[in-house]
Amino acid sequence: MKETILLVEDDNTLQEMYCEKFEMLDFKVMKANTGREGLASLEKKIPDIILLDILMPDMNGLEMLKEMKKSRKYRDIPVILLTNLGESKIDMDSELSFALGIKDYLIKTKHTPDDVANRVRQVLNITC
Amino acid sequence: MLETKADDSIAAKTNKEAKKIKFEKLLFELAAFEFSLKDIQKSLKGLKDILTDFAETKGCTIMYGDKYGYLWKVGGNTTLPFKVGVGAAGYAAKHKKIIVIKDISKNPIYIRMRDKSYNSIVSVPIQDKSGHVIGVLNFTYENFDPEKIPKKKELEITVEKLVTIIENVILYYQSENQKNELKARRVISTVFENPTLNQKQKLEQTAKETANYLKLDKVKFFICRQNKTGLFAKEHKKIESVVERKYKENPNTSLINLDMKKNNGNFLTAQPIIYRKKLMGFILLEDRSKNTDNLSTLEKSFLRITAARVGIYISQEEASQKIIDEKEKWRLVFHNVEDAILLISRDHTIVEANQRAKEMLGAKNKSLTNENFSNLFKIINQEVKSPLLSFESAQQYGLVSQRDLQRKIDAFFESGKKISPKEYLIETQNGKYWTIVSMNTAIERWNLESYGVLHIRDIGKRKKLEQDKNEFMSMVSHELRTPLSSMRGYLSMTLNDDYGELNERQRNSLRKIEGSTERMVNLVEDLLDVSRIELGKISLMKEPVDVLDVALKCLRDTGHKIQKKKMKVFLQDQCVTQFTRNKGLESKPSCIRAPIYVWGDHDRITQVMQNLIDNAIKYSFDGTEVSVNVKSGKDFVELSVKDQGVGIPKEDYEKLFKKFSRVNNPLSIQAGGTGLGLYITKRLVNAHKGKIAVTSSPKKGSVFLVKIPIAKQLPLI
Repeated sequence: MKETILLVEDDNTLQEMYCEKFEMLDFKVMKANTGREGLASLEKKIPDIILLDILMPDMNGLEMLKEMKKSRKYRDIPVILLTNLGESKIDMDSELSFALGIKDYLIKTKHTPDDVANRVRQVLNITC
Repeated sequence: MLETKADDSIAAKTNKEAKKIKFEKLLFELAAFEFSLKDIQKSLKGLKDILTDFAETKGCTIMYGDKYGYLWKVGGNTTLPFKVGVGAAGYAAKHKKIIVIKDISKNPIYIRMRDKSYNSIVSVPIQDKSGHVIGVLNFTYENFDPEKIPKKKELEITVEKLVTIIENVILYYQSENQKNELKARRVISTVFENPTLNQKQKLEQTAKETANYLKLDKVKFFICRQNKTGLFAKEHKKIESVVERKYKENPNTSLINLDMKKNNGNFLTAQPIIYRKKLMGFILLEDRSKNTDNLSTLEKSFLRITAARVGIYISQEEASQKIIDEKEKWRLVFHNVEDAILLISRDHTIVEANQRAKEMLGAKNKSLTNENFSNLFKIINQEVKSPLLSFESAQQYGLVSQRDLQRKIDAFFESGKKISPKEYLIETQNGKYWTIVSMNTAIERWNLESYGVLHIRDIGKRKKLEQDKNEFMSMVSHELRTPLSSMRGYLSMTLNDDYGELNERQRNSLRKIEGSTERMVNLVEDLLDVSRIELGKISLMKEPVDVLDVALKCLRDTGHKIQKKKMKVFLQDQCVTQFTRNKGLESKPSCIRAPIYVWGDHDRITQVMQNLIDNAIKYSFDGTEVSVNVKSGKDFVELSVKDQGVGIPKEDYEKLFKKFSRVNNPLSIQAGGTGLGLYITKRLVNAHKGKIAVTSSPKKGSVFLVKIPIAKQLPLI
């Protein structure tokens, strides 16, 4: 069975890039451009994992995360933050997001699509 | 010249007996007179009559000087009223002898005498009791007649009477003059002591009193004003130049006859005002009839005293004005500087506060004197030594406290230890200020308490600008990150053959793009680091970090750079990686034994290490070695990174760790970089309470030495 991944990312180029990567890796990819769209997608289908950007118009990643935590249905979906904001581990934003139960905090410039894919597979316990 | 004693043989004519009696009576009356000014004038007129009578009796002319001047001029000293040495009278006065010249025409000295109405002369000195010559009686004759020469006895009586009259007149005038002088001096004293009068009024009243006493038409004071146009103001320029010139010619001069008259014919005389050998100005005397010569000794001394009085007054005024001016000048400066300045005494009370301090401390219209400064503002934050420490962690280290400053002030007074400028966020009644507080000056007062000058500079604007700049930098860098992410991402996927296998040329060109992208990513990351450091936004997650492990990883990461430069890298004197022509890039197995732990943030320690190793390789010559050594001490672990590269001149050591600074050398141009690396490295090391230093010799290489606190506990795992 194909794993489903939800990409919440407002930058189209980046979204396309991650989409390509995960499709290559045989994921089923769902796309959303804002936090609000992300929540709407969840209504349709619950993904196995979410890659979530932070800075987005309309509703940002952290707000979406908070919304998800309110719902029993969505609460346990693993989330990896994938952002260009701040820095892994030691930033205020990252502290807050770890408190919200994220699996990891990745920086887009630092981590290549392969790195991201590796983390996703680790979280989902998929071995190649 | 002939000399004869008045001879008894000179007989008196008996028919003149009655007149003689009258004459003597008159003299007696005069001598016994209670003098008043009017009476004096009358009696002097009487004296003239007497003398005329006497002359008639003797059939001769008696010269007595014109306009009573004779008497006016005779004082109690030896100053003679006439010019001694000219004529028989002068001779008689000088030698105190009766002079008889029978035939003047035969005496060459007198040929120049204008008055040829007489041929013979008898000059009799009039001496007072103490022997001073106070006048001379001249008997002149058209033809010498021994009969008409006054007899000795006769002369003695006449002279005696005359002396009495003259002395009485003189005494009267002296006492009258002294009384007037004393009065005038008293008036002048009160004028000077009157605090309600200003300088101009004082001088005007003194001038008025002086004119009154000296009976002169006009007296005016001229005071030097040291301005560019000259010693004095423009008016009376000519007089002033004469006074100045004459004073310079003879600094001891008292009354200066200006040898000039005003347009209206008035005489002008000047009394210089001198204080401590400096010409301060002059008193200008103006009169229609009197010249300098017409002033008595007493009057002259009065003028000198007045001039001295004015001189002292003016110099005092100048000195006190100078003090006032000086004080005012500093007061203006003190209250108009941008910074708050507080004079603080040993017990922390405020002695003086400038306007800005009052504004800052919310006491604009209040006196701050005697307030304890600690009651006026509180330090609520302090620039912590490490810029990476947040306020909370600084508090943990006990760096932030009001008492910190108080202790420093105590130390300042006790040992003179200056309080170096430091940034504090202070809270006053007027709000919060970001400030730089320092105290580096003491005002020492002999045998008394000394003051410290506490200096508070409002740096709110600067702080705001810094923050704006950092936020801007952070925003820009963040915006740059997004496109860089997709560039980097697609590149890695393409190079990873995700889109099919690449041929070698495609791969090479993409590698070049990758290199450039890498550089840009690094630049953006550096900029972000700097702004984070300066915003104080990052804290360190400290844990025991094995620096040997970190160093090994960093060295292994440098593979392709080593390959390019055909270098060797060492850790603890063991080769880690080397490039040889035969074997290519070759990594050797590590045989490092015990780990060495520092107390730090793993990522940041890695960043420091990577930065130093990258730099070492970057500035190395081809085929050389880079070696990293780690040595653990009691409190610190010492890391050294040594290269055999271009080196750094000593004068650039300081510059090296500054922002955007790059030392000029041939390799730095090739090497590229942002000039931020060592700045970030230093700040990160400092944030770990560590130190970084460099030693280098140009063209031989550099050693960067880093000390980081050792981990006092070992990792749990």
